[in-house]
Amino acid sequence: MAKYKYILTLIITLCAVTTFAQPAQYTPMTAAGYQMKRLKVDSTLHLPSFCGVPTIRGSVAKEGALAIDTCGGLLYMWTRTAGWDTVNTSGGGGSSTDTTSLSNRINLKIDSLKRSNDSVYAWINGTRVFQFTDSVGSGGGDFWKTSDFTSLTNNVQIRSDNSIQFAGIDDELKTFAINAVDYNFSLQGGAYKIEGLNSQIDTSFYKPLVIGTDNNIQRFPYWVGGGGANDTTKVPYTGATKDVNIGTHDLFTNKVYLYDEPNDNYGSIHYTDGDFHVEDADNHKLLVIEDGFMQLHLNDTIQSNIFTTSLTQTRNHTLPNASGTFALTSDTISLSNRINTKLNATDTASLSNRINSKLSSSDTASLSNRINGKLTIGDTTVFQRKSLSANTIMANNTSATANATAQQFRDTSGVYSGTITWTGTTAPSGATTHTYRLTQVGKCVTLHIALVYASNGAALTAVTLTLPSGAPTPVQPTGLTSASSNMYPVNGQLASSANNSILSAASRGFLRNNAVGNAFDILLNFGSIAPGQLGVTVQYWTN
Amino acid sequence: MHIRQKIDVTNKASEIAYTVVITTDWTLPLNEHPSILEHPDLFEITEDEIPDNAQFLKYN
Repeated sequence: MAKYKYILTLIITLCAVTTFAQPAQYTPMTAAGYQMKRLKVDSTLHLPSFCGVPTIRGSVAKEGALAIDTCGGLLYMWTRTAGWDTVNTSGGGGSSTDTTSLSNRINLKIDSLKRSNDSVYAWINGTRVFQFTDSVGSGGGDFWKTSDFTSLTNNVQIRSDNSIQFAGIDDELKTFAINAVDYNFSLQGGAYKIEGLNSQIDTSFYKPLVIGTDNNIQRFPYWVGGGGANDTTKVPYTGATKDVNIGTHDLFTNKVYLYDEPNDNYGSIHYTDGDFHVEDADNHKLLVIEDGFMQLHLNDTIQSNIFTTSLTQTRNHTLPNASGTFALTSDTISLSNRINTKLNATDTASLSNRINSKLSSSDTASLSNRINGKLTIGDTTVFQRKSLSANTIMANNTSATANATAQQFRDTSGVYSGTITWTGTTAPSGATTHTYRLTQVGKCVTLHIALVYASNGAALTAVTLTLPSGAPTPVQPTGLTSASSNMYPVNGQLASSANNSILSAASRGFLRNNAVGNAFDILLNFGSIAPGQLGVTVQYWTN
Repeated sequence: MHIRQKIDVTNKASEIAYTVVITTDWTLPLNEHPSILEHPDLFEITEDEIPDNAQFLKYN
C-alpha cells in the first residue's frame, strides 16, 4: 500500500513539474474584444506593448487606454484630450527618485512668484517660500547673463562685471535717473560732464581747479552739476585725502590774492620773470626772491625790526639803521657750543662745571669765592704771595727744598733814647746826636748805637746803654741767665769830639743781663779817657 | 733834689745832655757828695725835675 502511495506522489509531482515547464497558453479570439463588467486577474495583467509610442487602432474610441513602450520603458496612458502621454518618467523600471505621490507632486508645484521689497517668494500650496534677493549690487539672482552682457534696451547693457554700459554716441550719452532725477553724460572740452536734464547753464566767472593726470593744477571749465550751490571754499583735488582749503582767496592773472577780510584788503603772492614776490595791499614788496637771493623789504620809514615769536615769547629785534653784514650770518652754532669751542671742551655741562673743570676745582662756589680760595693764606701750594706780614721775610729755614715760610725781618733806625750811664768824673756834655740802627734777619739781630756829644767827658772808664725801644729781646745762652751775665760781645770804639781822633784806650764789652737781672744793657769798659763820641756794635740772637 | 753836671742854663734844649749824678746809695747830705766837694765847678745841686732823656754818671 505504501508503495502505491509513493508511486502516486511521484506521478503528481512529475505532472506538476511538467505543467510549469510549458509556455502560457491563451485562448485566441478574432472579435474586436471583450466587454465585461469587471476584470480580476490573479496572475499577470499584460498591457498592450509597443516599441515606442503606442498606437490605437480605431482612434474614435472614447475610453482611455494604457500601453507600454517596452523599448523605452515608459508607461503610456491615452486620453482624448492629450492622446498618448507617459505616466512615469524616463528610465523606466520605477528607478526614478520621484517616489512622491501624484497628489504631493501637485501640491509641490509653484503656484505663483511674488516680490516683496528686494526678495522674491514662491507661493506653493498657499505657503510663501523665499527664492532669492533681487537688489542692486547684491544680485544673488541670475536673471541676467553671467557672461558677455545682457541688453536691457538697445543702448543699455549690463556687463558681466555688473557695470552698466551705455552704447550711445560719445558726445551724447544716454540718460539715466537717480531718485527720479534725470541725468546724462556729455563730453565737452575733453571732459565728461554729468548733467541734469533740467540743470542750468554754467555761467559762473570763477572756475574750479583740478589736479590733472600730469599732476599739474588745471583750470576746470565747468563746475560739476548737481547738488546745491558750488562750493567755492575748496579746490577740487582728485585723489585728495584731505580738503585743500585756502580760505577766502582769489586767483587772478599771475597772482594769488589772499583776502584779509577784517581789514578788507588783499595781499598777493606772484611769480614774475623768475622773481617770487610777496606784496601787501599797497603793492609794497615784503619778500622778494630774485636770482637766488632773498630780500626782506621792511618798513623804510623807521628803523627796521624783526619780530621773532615762540610759543611763549615775542621779541623785537631792531636792525642797524645802516647797511652792513650781520655778525651771525653764517654762525648757526649756539652760544653754549661756541663757548665749548673756545674752551676746547667736549663736555656739554654747564658753564660753571666747565669753569670748575678748567680750574681743577671741586668746589661749586662762585667764581669769586673760588678765586679767593686760591689765594687764601693757608694755600701755599700754588704760588708765592706778594703781601707779607709785618717785619717778615720769606725763606726756607730747613735743610731740604721746601716752600718758603715767613721769617722775622726788620731794619729800623732812629734817635737813640735809651738810658746812658757813664762811669767816671765827667760825662760828655753839650748838644747830642744819639742814633741807632737795628737790623734783624730771622733770629739774628745787629744793633749799632752812635752817641755824639759836643763836649768830651773826662776821666771816664765805662758806659752802659739800655737797648733801644723795640729791640728784640735777646735770647739768654745757657748758663748766662743770671744778673750781670755777659751774653754777646760788643765792639765799641770811642773818639774825641774835639778833633774826631780815635782814643787809644782799649775797650771791652758785652750785651748782658743788667745788674738786677730784669733787663738787658750794653756794658763797655775802657781805660780812663775823655771821649766825646761812642760807637757800639753788637750782634745777638733772639727767639 | 739831685746833683747834676752843670750845663748852660740858657741852652736847655732836649738835645743838650743832662747828666744826673747817681746818688742812690748816698746817705749823707748831697752837698757832702764827693762830686760837689771835689768839682763844685762842674756839679751843682738842683731841685729841677729830671728830664726823660737824662743820662747818668757814676761819679768816682
